[in-house]
Amino acid sequence: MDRSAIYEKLTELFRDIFDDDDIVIGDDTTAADVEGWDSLTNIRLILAVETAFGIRLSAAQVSALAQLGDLVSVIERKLNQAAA
Amino acid sequence: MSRGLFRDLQWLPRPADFRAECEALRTAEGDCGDAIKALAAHALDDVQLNRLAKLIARMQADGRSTRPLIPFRLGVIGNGTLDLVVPALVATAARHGFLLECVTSEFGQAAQDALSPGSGINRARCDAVLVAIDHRGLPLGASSGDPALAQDLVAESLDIIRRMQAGLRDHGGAHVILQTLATVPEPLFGSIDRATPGSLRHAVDAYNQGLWDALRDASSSVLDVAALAETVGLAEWHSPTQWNMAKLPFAAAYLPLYADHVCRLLGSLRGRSRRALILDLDNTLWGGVIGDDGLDGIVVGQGDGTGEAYLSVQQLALSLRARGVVLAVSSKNDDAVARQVFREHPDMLLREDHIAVFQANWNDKATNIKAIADELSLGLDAMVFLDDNPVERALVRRFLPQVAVPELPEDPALYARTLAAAGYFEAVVVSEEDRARADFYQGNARRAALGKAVGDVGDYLAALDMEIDFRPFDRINRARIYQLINKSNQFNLTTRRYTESEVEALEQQDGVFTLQVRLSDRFGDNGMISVVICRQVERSWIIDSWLMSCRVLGRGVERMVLRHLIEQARSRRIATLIGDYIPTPRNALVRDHYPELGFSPADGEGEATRWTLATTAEITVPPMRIAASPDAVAAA
Repeated sequence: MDRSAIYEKLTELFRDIFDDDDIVIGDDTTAADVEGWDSLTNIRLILAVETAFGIRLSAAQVSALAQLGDLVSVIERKLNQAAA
Repeated sequence: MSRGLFRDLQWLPRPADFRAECEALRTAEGDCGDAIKALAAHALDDVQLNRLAKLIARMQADGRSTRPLIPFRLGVIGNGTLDLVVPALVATAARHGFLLECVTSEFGQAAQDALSPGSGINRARCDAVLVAIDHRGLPLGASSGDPALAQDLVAESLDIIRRMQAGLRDHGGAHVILQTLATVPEPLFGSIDRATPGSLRHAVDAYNQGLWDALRDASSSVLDVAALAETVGLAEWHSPTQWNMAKLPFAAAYLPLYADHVCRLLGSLRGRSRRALILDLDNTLWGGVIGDDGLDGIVVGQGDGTGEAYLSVQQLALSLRARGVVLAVSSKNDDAVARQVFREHPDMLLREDHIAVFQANWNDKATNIKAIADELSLGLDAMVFLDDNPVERALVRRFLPQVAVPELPEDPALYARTLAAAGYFEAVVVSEEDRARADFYQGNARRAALGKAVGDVGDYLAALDMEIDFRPFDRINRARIYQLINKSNQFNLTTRRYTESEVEALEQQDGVFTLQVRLSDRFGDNGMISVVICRQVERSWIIDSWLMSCRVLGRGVERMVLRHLIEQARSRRIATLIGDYIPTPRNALVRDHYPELGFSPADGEGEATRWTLATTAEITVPPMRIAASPDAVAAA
């Protein structure tokens, strides 16, 4: 799965989680850019990402994320590891 | 497999397009309660539950009416994060008919809030308070292996909960819902943990037993989280990562399941548990179709994997009956043929006198279920309907949304588990009265009078997106054609049997028109469901055989077949179709097949009746696409 495919799936998740069907996301998206992205929603997002992509993230990996592009990179890496 | 059953609430249908349905709800007018409940009746994941909860909150804020949902105020206190639990509860409660308002305490304030008369929880005068405390919220693990201290800590933990229970009851006037503790999948010694004071498993066992023995009273109920966690597996239930990261008391994947269990309990407290189980027969209580396969052809009984699977469904039904659930039957069958199984099949566990109402006929099942409810003087919302056929399930859900209709997996071995997992018959108390109830309805297995049809089945058929496929007999399908010809008894106009070599001969014979019919719909491919053989005599076709699987009865397939016959006949300059009905003990179903299709009576021989139709007739047909035939594609 390449980054654009990951973004496609992530956008769906964001729309459900933030209850906003017009939301647009990219590499430099951060919590400050999205209304309602608080610590609780962040947990919900991480859980949804784990389910949707079939991966597991550790607490350290989650706390190291600075912007959305970092999350996409982690997802990409985990999916590649799983495929290898 | 089973893990998915519980985690994904697989007894509930999946939403077709959740976002579109949310949008429809947002713009709906009038009382929205039923529409909210209908959407919540699907298997929704954590994210979807959260979205639905937000939508319900917004509709309330906009002053929209949520009737007929019943308001319920639930306090929730616990030692973990409740923020994810609350929206899951709110959305799930709608599935159970409640408009839930949740009152929570601040993180880490559970005990103070329960004990203080002036706390938010107690001042809110909740209908019930859920005390969602797990092993990490009690001093159970602090014994450092000291047996005496371990026992003291169990007693202390129970005392903490007892005082919280009393506070919530006395200060808040609330019914208290306590939880058993899920033990942890990290052993201390190993196998001896359960017998060794000082291990967490031993402490949890002792605590849970104490909870049942000492704390349960009329003002409290117990939600058995321990059983829930065991059912899905402790290693699945507990997620150390999610606890560390967000203090989630159990893996978020199980929020939908947990919420459903809480809401079942609320439903039971309000007397809303279901009270009657309506059973389909063919391929639900036994394998096969009694009308076609006969008493010695159906599969039920010990000694055969499939037969035992169906026995387990019957066993569960019997056990439910013993605790007061009323049993009824709704089946597309000839009444006498269906009853014969209950009377004469030696391996049947269920007998006629276990069944309060026995509804075997050829009407649509929604109309029959309504008749059963009326006969029992129970509401439709007290009914559960078990049927292996997805088309019947969807029809009943559409016309009688109050009836609970569990999805069933393909394997009948899992039918009983699925029905039990759905928890329709949740009880907070067991009474003698309940036990006596089934006998009150003690079945003379009576037949209920049918009211008028409950809905326009035509609309429903259109939504099925059916596609029909017509082909002449061919080599590849010969075996299935042979099988259908020799096993169809009910929808079979002449019941003529042919050997496989006779079927082969028909493929090429001059003056013979053959037809095999397949049907698919949005639930899947039904395979070959009908066979017709016509023999030409001058400018007429005599319909030698016309038979169909009863599984697709009531969908207008026979009208499509007739129109196809007429088209084919016309193209061969045939002027008349001649149909015979030869009665047998099994085929009363099609006695009026030809007159209902517009044929006129002609002279029959003996008991048989003969009917004719000019091929100039126009046939109205149900909404159904015709698959492009392979021949037509090749020719084009």
